[in-house]
Amino acid sequence: MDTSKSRIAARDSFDVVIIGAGVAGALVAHVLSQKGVRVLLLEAGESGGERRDLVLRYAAATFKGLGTAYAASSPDKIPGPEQPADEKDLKVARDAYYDQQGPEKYLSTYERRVGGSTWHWLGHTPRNLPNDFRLRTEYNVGVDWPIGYADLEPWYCKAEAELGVAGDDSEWQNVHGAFRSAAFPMAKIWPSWSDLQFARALKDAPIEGERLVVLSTPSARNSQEYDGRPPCAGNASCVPICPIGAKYDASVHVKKATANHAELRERSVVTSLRVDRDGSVHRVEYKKWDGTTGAVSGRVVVVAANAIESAKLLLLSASDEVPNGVANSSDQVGRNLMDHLQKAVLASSREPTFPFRGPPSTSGIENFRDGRFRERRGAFRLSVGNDGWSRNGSPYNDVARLVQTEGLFGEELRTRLFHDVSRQVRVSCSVEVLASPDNRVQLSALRDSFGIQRPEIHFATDDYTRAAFGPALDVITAILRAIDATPLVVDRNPLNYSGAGHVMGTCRMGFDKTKAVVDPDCRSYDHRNLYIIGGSTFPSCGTANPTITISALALRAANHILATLPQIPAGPVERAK
Amino acid sequence: MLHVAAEGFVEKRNKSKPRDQARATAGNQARPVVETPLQLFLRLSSVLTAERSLPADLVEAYFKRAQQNLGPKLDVLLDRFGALLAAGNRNLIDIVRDEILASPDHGPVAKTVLLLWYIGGIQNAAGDWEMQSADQYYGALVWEAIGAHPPTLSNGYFGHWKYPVER
Repeated sequence: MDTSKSRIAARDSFDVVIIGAGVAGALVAHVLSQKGVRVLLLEAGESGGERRDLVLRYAAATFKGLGTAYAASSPDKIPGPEQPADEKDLKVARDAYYDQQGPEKYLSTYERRVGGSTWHWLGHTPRNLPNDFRLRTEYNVGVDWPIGYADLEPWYCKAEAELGVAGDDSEWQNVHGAFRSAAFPMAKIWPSWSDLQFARALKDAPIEGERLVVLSTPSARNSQEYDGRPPCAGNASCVPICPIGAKYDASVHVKKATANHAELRERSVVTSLRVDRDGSVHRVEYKKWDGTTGAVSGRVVVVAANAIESAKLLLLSASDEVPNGVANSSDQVGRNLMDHLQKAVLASSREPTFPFRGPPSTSGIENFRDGRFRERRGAFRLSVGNDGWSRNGSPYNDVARLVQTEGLFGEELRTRLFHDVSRQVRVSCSVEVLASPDNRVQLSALRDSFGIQRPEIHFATDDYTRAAFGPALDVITAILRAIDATPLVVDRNPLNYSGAGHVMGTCRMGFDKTKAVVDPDCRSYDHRNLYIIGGSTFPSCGTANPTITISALALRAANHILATLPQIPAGPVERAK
Repeated sequence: MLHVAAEGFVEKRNKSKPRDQARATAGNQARPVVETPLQLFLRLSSVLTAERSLPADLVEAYFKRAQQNLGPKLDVLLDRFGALLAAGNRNLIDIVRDEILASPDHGPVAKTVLLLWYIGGIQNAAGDWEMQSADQYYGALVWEAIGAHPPTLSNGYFGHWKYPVER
């Protein structure tokens, strides 16, 4: 069927069509459906099995990667960077999907399923700092956001209530000027024994003349029963799956939205947005896993995939009317792809810290997230791990070493294992990346297994980011010295980093429609009934994990949609005959 | 989960195991009886792991798995172990250390069995620990040994990670 010419039945016409059932799309669907707006959520992936079954699949798997629990029932129908083209190695799956053009590889990935990547996020929700919104004004680098911290602050509060954020009000009031107008919905996630040892050691040991403060990281992870979900039991598996739903994931708001009569169509991969003669976008075409096609219409269309999939869809939707793609008169769609780049230092402490218990990280150090140094190099955030050397294969590798190399067994093996592993610590840095027009998503000539053009990715770090690794590693080394821990290795090669899973940029917001894709309300400059939400709209990335900012922006955009919907005419809808 | 205790196991750990529902005990003295390969596998496993009792379903599963993976080398090891037991009055730990693990023939086989118990998998040529079931993942001894639990199953309460592990 050629859907581009087909009429759209009344049952397929909606007030709002949302593309992507991750956290941004789910929140907008929830808010709008609460107000009686007729909403359709289109999701490329599927809901998948029950949480219990996902956990058991993970447990039984040899290769326990990010996507292990979430293998789709038909992976060839939902190709993505975490679908197990090769279950053994996530990098293989990633690069079988991304067309990596370099010069460096883009390392972060995402999950295409109902609820999106929040299924395997850590749950951390630090807010952006005030100066993260005005990099150009304060430090003469990057670009300013068209909104400031004060504009977003009330929406941060609402987002924290929706997701259920646990945090410490006294610790987080005015961190780098980030004021809070409402209390966290619940008390903080308790720090780990390891966190307490770091805090004690750093209390009276200034580093580089500065007293470092170990703060409990705000997290969308329950410290008490909240929103019908249980408190965290410390299952130590936020990444890749919380077995009890104590950590928020966006399936929460998908369920709330569908309970309010929003419709969810999963296994529906959107392939094109059609632009009408008046410049509006109503028609959304998709391909189902069973090979059939469909088309729906919305008075408002919301693109809420992620920074890679949203850009890909807008570019895929090029037509005679919009030869550069939808929403792309600025030529900014796909550009400014960002991530937070990480380095982890593993060390062995003199005293036990008892890792592998509790959430993988519960505390961080925020001192270096802002300062005049941002004129010259990126900021960084430090996180303290509770996960030992799991990134190095611990504790399995420790057992293997002690048995195979040292020949230990019996009680001696048990004693040495406890001694060695209970002293494993990790401190990581997460470094700011500046937006660059050359770091971008384009359409590859290669197609995925579902017949859709794959994302072609160009990515390179610049001196601004690379210059942050040295100071970050200096601080980490000093911290480890303060707690009497010996690093395994400190890799100072700035090209050896890992991705944070924070896919940002590609549809930046701004004041100037010649330089930005969306306005401060996440509304397309080119198509006034089209909204683009998610990390794709970030003009800069600061050092905060992006989900709470994504959520705040989504709630703000939902509010704007509610206000403008009455003035937006219906699209070219015709009743089915 | 039924736990079985191996005969002749001399080190008794003062430790409660909540998953224990039943134990089969047969005393700690080595007895000159003919034991089946499965019984010898259990006795060897108990000495290797210092676990006085082991889950019966995992004993059977790991025995089969070791047979499949190690083939005749396991039979030879268990024959040798049985002969050493029958020979008399040496301490089991000494036997395993001096005659089994130190042996270029038997050592690698016994280490594979030990690692199977501790990790729940057998390392393949690519270096990956191949697992077969969720039960085996959750039954891996390493987690309790390090004072933790298998990720996704803490059996804990909110905030337990704030306190040190007591041993």
